[in-house]
Amino acid sequence: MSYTHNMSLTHSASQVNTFLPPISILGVGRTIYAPQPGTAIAELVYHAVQAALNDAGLTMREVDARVTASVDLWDGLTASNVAITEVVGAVMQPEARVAGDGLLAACHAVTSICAGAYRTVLVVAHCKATMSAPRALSNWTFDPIYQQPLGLDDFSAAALQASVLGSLAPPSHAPLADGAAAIILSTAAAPLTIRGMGWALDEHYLGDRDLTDSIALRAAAQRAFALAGIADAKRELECAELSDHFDYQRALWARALGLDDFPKLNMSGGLDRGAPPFVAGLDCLIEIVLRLRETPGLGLAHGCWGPAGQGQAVMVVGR
Amino acid sequence: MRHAAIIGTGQTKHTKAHDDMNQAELVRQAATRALSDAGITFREVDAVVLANMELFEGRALPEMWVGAGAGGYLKPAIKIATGGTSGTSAAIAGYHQCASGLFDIVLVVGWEKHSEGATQTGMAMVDPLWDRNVASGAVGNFALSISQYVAERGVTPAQAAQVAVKARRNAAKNPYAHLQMPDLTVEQVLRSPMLADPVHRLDMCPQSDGACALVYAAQGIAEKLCARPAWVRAAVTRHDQPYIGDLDRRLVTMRTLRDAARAAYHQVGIVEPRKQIDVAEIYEPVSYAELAWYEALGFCAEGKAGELIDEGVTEMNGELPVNPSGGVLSSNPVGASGVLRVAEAAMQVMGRAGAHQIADARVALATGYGVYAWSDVMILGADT
Repeated sequence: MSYTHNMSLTHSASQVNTFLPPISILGVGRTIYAPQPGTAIAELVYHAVQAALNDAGLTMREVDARVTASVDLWDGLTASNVAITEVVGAVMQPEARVAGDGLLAACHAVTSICAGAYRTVLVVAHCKATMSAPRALSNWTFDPIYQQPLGLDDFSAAALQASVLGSLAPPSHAPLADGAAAIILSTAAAPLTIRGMGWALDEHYLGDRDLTDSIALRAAAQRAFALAGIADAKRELECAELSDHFDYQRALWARALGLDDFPKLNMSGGLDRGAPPFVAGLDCLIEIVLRLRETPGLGLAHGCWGPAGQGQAVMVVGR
Repeated sequence: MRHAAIIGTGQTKHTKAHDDMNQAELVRQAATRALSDAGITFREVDAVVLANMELFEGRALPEMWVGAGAGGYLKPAIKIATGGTSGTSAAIAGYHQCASGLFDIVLVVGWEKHSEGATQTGMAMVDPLWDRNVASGAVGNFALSISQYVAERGVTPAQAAQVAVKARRNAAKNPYAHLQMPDLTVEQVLRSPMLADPVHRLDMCPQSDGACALVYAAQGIAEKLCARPAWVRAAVTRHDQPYIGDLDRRLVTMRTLRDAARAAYHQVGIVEPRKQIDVAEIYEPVSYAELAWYEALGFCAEGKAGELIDEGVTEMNGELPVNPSGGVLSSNPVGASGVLRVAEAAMQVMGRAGAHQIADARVALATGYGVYAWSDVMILGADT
């Protein structure tokens, strides 16, 4: 299956799965999202992980591997998953660490399970955004030759994107907070299963991107919907939680997903609930899980990272 | 769940400072070389896995800029960052993605451009409460563990120096290697400046600029694209305690490597590693570490690593050649170093290692080492 519409594969496309094998979400857990200057990263993660294990009715012994998500510069640590080795149960155990959003870590965990490498995987994301300097740090995301010297950062990139969308006011950013989130994926049968997923990177140079759209999100969604067998997202989804790090992004991501005017969008209130960067996408998945436990159907979780949503991930779960 | 194989590899020249290429260009060169080796183009790549330690260059989410160099635009692309094991962990991640049935062709690219950063500063950004005040980077923490290892195992500085000589002599046969020293002697290693007792400068790996890429293809496709694919037979990861003081005699026990190797050998049916493995590419940041890894990997009995190097068992023409590429001791772009181990192991199985080819290599071992004692182990084979 090709990822982009204009890509023709020379090898046999029939090799690629068009659906996911059954992979369940057994449990979810998270901390409060608020400034927590007196709580270390490991302690935050400990609480989220224990909550997820309790929710799943599992002990750490029953977890085969973990995929964690964090970004070194935001934590002020080199290989910042070192800080959480013990509390995610990774001592003498497998762990992969994804530098990006937690929903991307969940997507990767699904591939490891599909590969037959592990049966039960703990996915963890953490960030103490109030201890970081997001403006200064995100300036260092931009290429050092053309964009970084302009002083661009995640906030000015968002302002540029909001302005091309017609907004005259500077965009409003979701509150920066500290927290951690965890979910447990497994081949063990359970009511909630993963039906589709996709992720993609957009163009890096803002001047080369159509900032009024997100073709990376469209590519990610195309893949996720194809795996989930969704033809009309608006009609078939029960609920969706999008990572609106800035206020204007809710409508932008919704349009790229074919979810304009979708009534059950961000019923949680969106990222105003405080889920920090890199935790946000995994927290959207947790919101969807909690909602589907009440009302069966298909739900969509979205995560994004990088300037003006350069990195995009989508996961569809169903009950 | 299906088999997957490496069908192409590519790397840049590894050197002290690549002033001729930026990070994205380094990645581009390694990626295009790997795709060319595989006989495909970026179009055929279904997913991309990147590896880099961003704090070493001080960049934030560098894959945003560099990702396009790996053809990541509008493709599923992720970055794996686990310290020194970043490259091997990315290689394992890419293998999982390909074996998952979701992607037919997966490109893995690791890179580091140490010349643009302050690696020692990056390595000192450890736990701020307990470890940062005594953080000493790789040289300091290895010196500590090596002293314990030497005291317990009795290996000599000359035996360690012989490892360093072997690496740089092998590297002279590898056109991409950073430190190529065909005539290096044990005496020269022992006369090189002492960094931290007992580690001499020539016992230690360099910091390099460079990138390395490999291409996975799924069963059914790999055989069509490659006459002799390097099939992944095992891929195992073990992490350990975050505080060096909590690790019991790190180099003596090296329990992560020991356990990962045992699990990998079990999967493949290896009971006599020295006989059943044809070539090994192991992640040895310092000469003494290679000796310690020999024991952990079961290449020799406990305490016999010094004899193994004395007897030439791990030389190019020995029973079990270790690091014919020159290893990490000769080229060390950290985010790429683990990818290099896997790529070099694959090149041996594919018969494409050129002047450092080991004849009839059918089973190859690759390992990654990171943080204080994290390990990855992969076994590649000519048979599925």
